[in-house]
Parts: sequence; C-alpha cells; structure tokens
Amino acid sequence: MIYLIILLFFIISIILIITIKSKSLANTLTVVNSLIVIASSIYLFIQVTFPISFLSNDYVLIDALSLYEILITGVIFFLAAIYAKGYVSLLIKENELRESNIRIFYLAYNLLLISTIGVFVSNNMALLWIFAEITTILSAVLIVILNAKENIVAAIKYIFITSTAMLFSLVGLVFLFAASKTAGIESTLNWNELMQVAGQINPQLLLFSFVFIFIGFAAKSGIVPFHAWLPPSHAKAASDVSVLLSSVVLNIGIYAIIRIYALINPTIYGHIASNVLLIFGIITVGIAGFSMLVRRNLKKLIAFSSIENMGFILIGIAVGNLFWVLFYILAHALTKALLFFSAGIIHRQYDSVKVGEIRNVLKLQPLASFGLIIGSIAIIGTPLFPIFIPKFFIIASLAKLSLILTFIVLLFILIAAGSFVWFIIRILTEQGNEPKKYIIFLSMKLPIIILIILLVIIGVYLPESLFNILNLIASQLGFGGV
Amino acid sequence: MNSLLLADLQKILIVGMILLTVISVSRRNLISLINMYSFQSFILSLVILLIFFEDKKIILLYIALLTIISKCSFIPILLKRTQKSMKIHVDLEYNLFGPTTSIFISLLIFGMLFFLFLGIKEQLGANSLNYISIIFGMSMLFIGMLIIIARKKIITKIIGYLMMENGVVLLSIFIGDLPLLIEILILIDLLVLLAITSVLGFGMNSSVENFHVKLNPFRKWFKRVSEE
Amino acid sequence: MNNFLLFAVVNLTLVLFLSPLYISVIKKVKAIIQGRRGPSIIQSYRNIFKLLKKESLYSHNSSFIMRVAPYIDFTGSLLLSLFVPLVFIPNNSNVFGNIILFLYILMLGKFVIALSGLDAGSTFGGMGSSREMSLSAIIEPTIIVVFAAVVFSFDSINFFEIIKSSLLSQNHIFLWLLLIPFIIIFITESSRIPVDNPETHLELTMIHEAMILEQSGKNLALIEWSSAIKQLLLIGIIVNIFIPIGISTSMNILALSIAVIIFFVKSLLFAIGIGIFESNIAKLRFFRIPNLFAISYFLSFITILIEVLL
Repeated sequence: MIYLIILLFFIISIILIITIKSKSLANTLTVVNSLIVIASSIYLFIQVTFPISFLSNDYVLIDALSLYEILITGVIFFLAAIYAKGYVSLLIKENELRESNIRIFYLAYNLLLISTIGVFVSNNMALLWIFAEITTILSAVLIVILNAKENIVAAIKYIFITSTAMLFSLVGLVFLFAASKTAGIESTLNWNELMQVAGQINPQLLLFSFVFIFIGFAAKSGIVPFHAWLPPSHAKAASDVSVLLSSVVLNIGIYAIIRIYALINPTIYGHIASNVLLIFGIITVGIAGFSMLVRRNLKKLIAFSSIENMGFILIGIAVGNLFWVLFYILAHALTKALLFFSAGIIHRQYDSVKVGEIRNVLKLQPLASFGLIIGSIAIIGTPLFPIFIPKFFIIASLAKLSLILTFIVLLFILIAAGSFVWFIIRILTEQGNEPKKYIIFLSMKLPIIILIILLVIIGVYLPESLFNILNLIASQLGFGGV
Repeated sequence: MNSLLLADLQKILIVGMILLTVISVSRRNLISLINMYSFQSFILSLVILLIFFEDKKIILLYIALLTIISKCSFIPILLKRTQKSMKIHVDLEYNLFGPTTSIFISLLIFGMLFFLFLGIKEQLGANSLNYISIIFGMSMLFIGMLIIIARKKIITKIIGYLMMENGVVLLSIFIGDLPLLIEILILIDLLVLLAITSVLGFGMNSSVENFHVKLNPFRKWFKRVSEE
Repeated sequence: MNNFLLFAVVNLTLVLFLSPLYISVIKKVKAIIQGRRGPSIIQSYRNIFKLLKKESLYSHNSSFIMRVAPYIDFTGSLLLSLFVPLVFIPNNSNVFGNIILFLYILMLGKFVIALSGLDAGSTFGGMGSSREMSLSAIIEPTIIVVFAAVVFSFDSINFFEIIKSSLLSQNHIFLWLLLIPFIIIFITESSRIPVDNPETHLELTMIHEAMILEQSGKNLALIEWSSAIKQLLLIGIIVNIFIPIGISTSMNILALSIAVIIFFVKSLLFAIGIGIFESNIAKLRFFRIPNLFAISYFLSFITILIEVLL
C-alpha cells in the first residue's frame, strides 16, 4: 500500500516539474524525492522480512542487496540534489546551461532516480536489462544538457559503447533463458527461481551466458577494454552529473555482475568465471593506474580512479569476499561524490580543471581544497577513511589465492595513489596571479561538509546494523559471511 | 514436405539477412545503407511470419507486424530525415580495414563462430534450423560490431547497431519462446534510436572524429573581454 | 558408344549454330529497353561470316602465340561443349570429363588470349590482359566454392551425373541460393556489365575487348565465336542445373526435338533476363569489383558450410 503512495508522489512531482517553470520548486521536489527514497529504504530495513514482493509473477522483488543499493542511491541523489540548487544557478549565470533546459535537467534527474531504483528492484533479468538501458539514455541526456558541443561527442560515445555491449548481454540473457530449461523447470529469467536451481543448469551453457552478460554490464561499469566512454563523459559532464554517474550508475553494472556471478558460483565452472573476473579486474586496475599518471585534467583523473575502483571491486567479487565488496561500494560512492563536488567548485572558480590553471586554490576556495585533499586521501585507501578496511581484507583474500597477483595489484594501486598525490601537490603548490574569488552558495558547500563528516564516521566505526545487513546479503547470495 | 519447404525457405531468408549485413560493410552510399536495413527488417518479419504459419502462436503475428511498422518504415524515415538535415551522402573513409578486407574479416568471423559452436550443437536444440539461426544471429552481431568499428560516419554506425539488433532478434525467436522480451526489446530499440537522433539534432554534422571544436578558449576570451 | 557420338554431334551443332544468337538477343533486348530498334537478330552471324572471309594481319613484333592462340581458344571451347549436356544425356557418360577439367580448359582459353593480348606489344593489350587476369584470379575462389557446393550436394563431379540427379530429385531448394554466385560467375566469364562492358569503344574502360584489339579477320572471328560458345555453355549449365525439365535421356527423335525446343525457350528467357538486368545497372568501377566478388564468395561459403556440414 505504501508503495503506491510513494509511486504516486513520484508521478505527481514529475508532472509538476514538467508543467511549472519554477527552478526552486523543481529542486525542492527533487530533494524531497530522494529523501523519500532514503526514508523508505531505512523503514524497510527495519521491517527485516525479506524478500518483499510486489507483483504476482515475481518480476519485481526487493531483496536485501536491492535495498542496500537503493539506500546508497538515495543518499547520493539527495546530496547531489542539494548541490544542484546552487550549481544550476551558477551554470545559468555562466551561460553554460540554458534556462529552458532546467526542466529537462530536473526531469531527467528524477527519472534517473526512478529507473535506477527500477534496476535494483527488478527480479527478472530482462526487466533489469531494460531499466539499465533506460538509465543509459537518461544519463546521456544529463550529459548533453550543457551547451558545449564536446558533450555531444562524449554522450554519443557513451550511448554507442554501452548499448552495443548491452546487446551482447541480451544474447547472454537469451542463452540463460534457454539454459534454464535444462534444469527441469519452466524457462524463466527470474533471479530467485534461477538461484534455486543454479546447480542443475547445464554448466557449459551457463558459463557461456555468463561471459556474454558480463561483457554487457562490464561496459556499463567501465571495465577495460570497454572503458573508452568513461573519461570523456565523466569529465565533460557537469560535476553534479558526474557524481551521479560515478557513484550510482556504475553500481548498476556491478550489481548485475554480482547477481549473475551468484548464479554460476556454486556450479562446477564457477572457478572459470572467477578467473575471468579476476583477469579483467587486474587489467582494469593496471590500465587505469597507469593512465592516471599522465592526467592533467582533474575530472579525468577522478574518472580514471572510478575505473580503477570498479576493477578492484571485480577482484573482490572474484575472490569471493562479497561482504567487504559491498562495504567498498558504499565507501567508494561517498568518496567519489566528495571528490566530484569539490572538483565542481574548483571548476566554477577557475573555469577549467587543468593543472596549470588552478592557482592559489587554498586561499581562494578553502572548503573545496580541503574536500579535495580529504577525498584524495580517502580514495587512496588511507586508514581512518572507509576505503581502507575493505581494501585490506580483499587484498588479504587475494593473497590467500596467489601471492604474485597480490603484489601486482598492490603495485597498480600504489601507482594510482602516487598519481593522486602528485596531482594534488601540483595543484596546491601552484602560485600565480589570482583570479577573482568566486562566491559559492551554501547549498554547494553543504554536501561537502556532510560527506566529510560521514566519511570520517564510517571510516572509524562500523555500525552493528550495517554489519548484520551485509552479512545477510552475503549469505543470501551464497557467499560466506564474515 | 511442407515443413521441409518452410524450413528451406526460412534458411534462404536468413542467409539473405546476413548477406545484407555483409554488403553493408562495404557500401558507401548512406541512403542505400538505410534501404538495406529496411529490407533486412522486412525479411526478418517474413521469417517470423513463416514461423507463425508453422507454430500458430498469435504473439508471433503481432511481433511481425510491430517489426514491419517500426523497423521497415518508421526508423528508416527517421534516419533519412536525419541524413537529409546532415547533408552528407556518402561515407568514404574507413577506419581500419578497407571494404574488401572487411568482407573477408566477416567471412573469418562467420567461419570461426560456425566451428566454435559445432561443439555445443546438441545442447542448443538439435534442429539444424535452430543452429543456423544461432550462428547467423551471432555473426550478424559481430559483423554489426565490425561496421561500428570500421566506419567513421555516425549514420553508418547507427545502421551497424540496428543490424546487430536484428541479429539478436533472429537469435531469440528461434532459441525459445520469449514473447514479452522481444516486444520490449523493439520498444527499447526505438527509444535508443530516438535518443540518438535527437542528440544528433543538437547540431552535429560530420564524422565523430572531426569534432574537436574547442569552445573553451572562446569562453575564456569572452569572459576576459567582458570583464575589461 | 554411338549414344555418345550422337550426343557429340547434337551438342556441337547446337553450340556452333546457336551461340551467336544469344549475343544478338541480349543486344536487342538492351536496345529495346533503351528505346532503339537495335541490330537484327542474325547480325552476329553476319559479323562472324564477314570476319571469316577477311585476312588476318599480324604486327611485326608478334610471335607465334598470336597466330596460334585463337585456334587453341576455339578448340578448347568446342571441347568444352562436349562436357556439358544441353539437351541430351548419353548413357555411359560418367567417365568423360568433369567439372575440374571444365574449369581448367576455360582458364586455358582465357590464358592464351591474355598472352596474345600482350604479344603485340601495344599498351592497351597489356592493360586488358592484366585486368582480365586479376579479375579472374579474384573470382576463382567463388568459382571453386560454388562448384564444390554443387558437387557435394549432388554427390558427383561429372556434369552429366549432376544434371541427371537434379532431374530425378527435386528437393534441393536450398541450392537456389547458389543462383546469385552462379550469375556473378556467368557475368565475369562472359565479360558483361557490371564487370565489363562488351559494347564499349573507349579503350580505357575495356577489359576483355582490349585484349583482342590487335586481332583481325579469321582470328577475330574464331575468338568471338569461342566466347559466344562459352557464354552459351555457361547458360546451359545454369539453366540445366536449376531447371532440369526437358532434358531427354533417350535417343528418340521426338524426345530430342522437344528437348531442343524446351532448352531454346529456357535459355532465351535467361538471356532476356540478363539483358534486362544489364540495362538496369551500371558498370562497376574497377576497384569496386573485388567487393562484388568478395560478397559472392561470402554467399557461396555460407551455402557450402550449411549445405555440407549440417
């Protein structure tokens, strides 16, 4: 019953955004929408009766994993909506966003929220595919909304590479559908039914469909070699949109890969699948790490760091340490949001994010530079911040498998860390003639402050409830808990 | 006898589909590419109709009609209108391989897929028509990807993507009965195409590479001039 | 034995006397479509007889090849006509000739003509020879695969057995896919549009004609006649493999005459179809021809994989 009310509220807010031309109303509605998402997911967590099903044919199902991801999504969208309040007006003042496109911006924002939630709640893999494609289109609209022509190229690259790879995963889904017939049940693409008979599906066909599905969703997550769209789109989009893309949309691919890996893990070909994930993960971390060394553009640096983190998550899934992978997803989302928010403020100040052009940043924009410093320290994996612990445990699990691979991965992470440090040092120590100080609205500073506090809290103290939830998810998916 | 004739006819039509894909690898005229795509979709709907004659599931008739309406008329008209506004008629440059080399590479792709799948032929349904549709659907997938990689103009890349999609539809109608999936796939296909063409309508008028209009120095110059 | 003698006599007569007709028919169809009246149907016969009466001139730089080549070509064509049953299949024919020999003798004729094109030392001759040889090298994989597909489907390497089994059994519908590569092979071997324009007078656009620019008189008559014979034989192969009705296997006069009439009708329809097809497309630019051949190779490759391996 309560879901209908929530849905109704979403629909009403969308209609209001389309019809009424007020900027602040649209922003308020967006903020309220994301608050509703956060509130409802926390409420549902307290209910603790999983899984919650909606329709009779089990197409839509709320699992523990789905709810966890929806919570992360809600938090990030909420913070980005607050940030958007000031950011959009600054963009309009600089003529980078036309006044008439604001409605499209907020419309796409809310629709992206709805379709991301759609991805996470769909039990039927085909429905998941459809919602993933819808998120591609909506995020491309958000990228193109700026007035620059380079964004069109980035968006077209994004749509093409992602959609082409998603066709591969559609082929994989078709094969999965045919394979499910061999387990003796009626052909289905519902994940919970597939999970029950996972051991009896023909393993060759299952491996085959796994590889194809993996290709599609790996492209959505920015795994090498399908990562070519990620740096241009995350760098050229507005910083607000980059937050959404890096923290939430990349999670969609990882979510689907976790689901499909949970199907193949108990079968006899499970180790082949985990080897595939491991190889792709290590290559991704390597290439992203090396690409970060030569970056002069701050946002591209952060985008490559997203690629590297996604590769690391793949490694974590491959070694089977799902508990810490889930925590890593949460930590990465928050840290990446902090980095992009700070980069957004810097972009507004200097009108560019390149190394030579950012001068005297500590004096001009102290909050943004602190955000940048803390974000970089956090993303590297310093203790006291949340990325350290999951990284530590995942590398420990990898070391149990193979020592050489551990050293290689550590080397790559070290290279990525070094490039971050070098970049930040170059930016912070650059002197020169100062441009005028840009007045940043409070609404843009607020998310940064909230995120820094949140990161420090989560980095030091892991709440008991979070611990239990993550254990529940890991055991539901068939991996061991901690 | 009747079903054998039907199976042979379907085989011929499927071969026609992949032939059109391979011809598109080497064609340069943009309008002929769009026509080839609409002809290919028409052949696809004929194949679906032939299956409907044999299986008598009404959903197949709807899918065939939907295919004809959307892919044979709506999407080509949309593409032709986009092409007219972009004022480009031919796609002369090739990224990596020349036209004849591309055709031989698609031959190689087809051969590799054929022999790769010979091993799991039994598990996919021992009917030879099923096997043919799987091989041809997957090679249309890869050859469509070759079109996307090897050509420079955006309309050719869109045609490549659409042919990939035809390959997936071909694969899925033979391997199992997934009615809802296919219909929704067609709808999403339309959505993605509309999104792409509306993005194109923002004012892009040449190949993807020639597009580094650096607006940044212009903006900074403008700001400097307005501050003085 | 006299079965085969009768076959040889019938085939040679048909081939010698019927072949120039097809050249005229195609020209007439093209002319009618273009709105002209065109040359009369027996104009080709008049051309050949006129050329037979004239003397052959040889350049000072030419060697024996130029004197010998037309005869080798013509003899090869006549020999080829014994491999292909046009109206009549003799009894004990499965020991005479096969597809591979057919292709080799076809190639031999082309080879000596190409040599004779080089022989006179003129630029256009060399250009024509090199173009013709490169085109025939590129069409070769298609020819081999197409004929291999036919051989595997009908289980015999002999034209007589192939057409006999095609006459008996009717369930090779899938082979109709091979019609398109067959037509492309036919167009290439008889130098028609879209590969080569047989009626062009501009030397830079010639492929086959450029090779025979230096020939004159009897030699030219023999070369033209032999290319007409090859064209008729290819038409015969195509219509007899795909629509084998009407071929007689017995020796009585009624069956033979009916077979002749039916073959005449079939091949005339094919020739008219070729004429209409030629009028509707333009000659391909030379560097685009390998594309066409690659596509036909792809088609024949697919057909043979599916037909043979499944």
